[in-house]
Amino acid sequence: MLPEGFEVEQAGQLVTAYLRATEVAHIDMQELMQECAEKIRYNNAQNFIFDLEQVEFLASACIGSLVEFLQEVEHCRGQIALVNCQDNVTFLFKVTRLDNVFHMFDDLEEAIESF
Amino acid sequence: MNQQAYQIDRDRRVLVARPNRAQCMGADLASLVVELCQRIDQGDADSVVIELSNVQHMDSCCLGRIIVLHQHARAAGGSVALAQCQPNVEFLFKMTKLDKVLGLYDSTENAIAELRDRRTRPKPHQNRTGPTDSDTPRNLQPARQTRGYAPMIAALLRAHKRIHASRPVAQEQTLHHGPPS
Repeated sequence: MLPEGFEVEQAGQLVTAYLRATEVAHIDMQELMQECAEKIRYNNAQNFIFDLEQVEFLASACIGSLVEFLQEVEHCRGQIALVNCQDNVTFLFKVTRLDNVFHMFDDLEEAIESF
Repeated sequence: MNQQAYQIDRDRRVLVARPNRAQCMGADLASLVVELCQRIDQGDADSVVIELSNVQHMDSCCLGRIIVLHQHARAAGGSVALAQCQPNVEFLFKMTKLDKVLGLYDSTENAIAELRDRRTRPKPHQNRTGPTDSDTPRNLQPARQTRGYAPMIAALLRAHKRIHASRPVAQEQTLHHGPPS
């Protein structure tokens, strides 16, 4: 089951996940990743956008969950994009150089065009 | 004397990289990762063990570099593992849960053995209970179909051996139960 405030929408092979919470803990991210992995397995999903507009704090353990999920996405030749990241979250990805691994965009439209 | 930043050895299809400096910075690791990626591209190897016994402190931007290397190795059918991490470095990987992705090992030998094993082991999603091959989305099927031949070939070989093994036994039985001479 998805954590409160989280929402996942699918349109064709594109899945957009809205993380409507100010703090995202590792367990929340794991549940979201499970839901997204099921979209790959059962609903033929390929590309994923995570909208982090409301997220002010992302636990560093979420990195592992995202990278683990990225492996599944790459297995079906898909991509992950992060959009609307706040400064704190952007910092986390930049300081770990994971901004080279996950594509980061300012808004949803830009991310959709990139796929 | 200027100490070399790292050294790379090879154990069959596994490259073993050893950063030598106690402070491992992103820039040092970047050049190591570039060299390892090149060697993977050349077909020299497909997996990498990074032995971190000399590294007391690791810059957080090393994480991204290692994940890039991991992606590269996975694309070649291999993987990346870490061995002999010092407590500080181990903490960094455990805190970010990247230890689950890469795997931390006490010895380099164990890490090499695990990487060899990973190549032959089915992918994690194949072990999960759930969808069968017929439920698999189209975008996952080509890669899975190629792996799917292995059990079929193994079953055929087992059947072949069984048939051949049963022949002499059948002859013995015939002789045993035959009329007394």
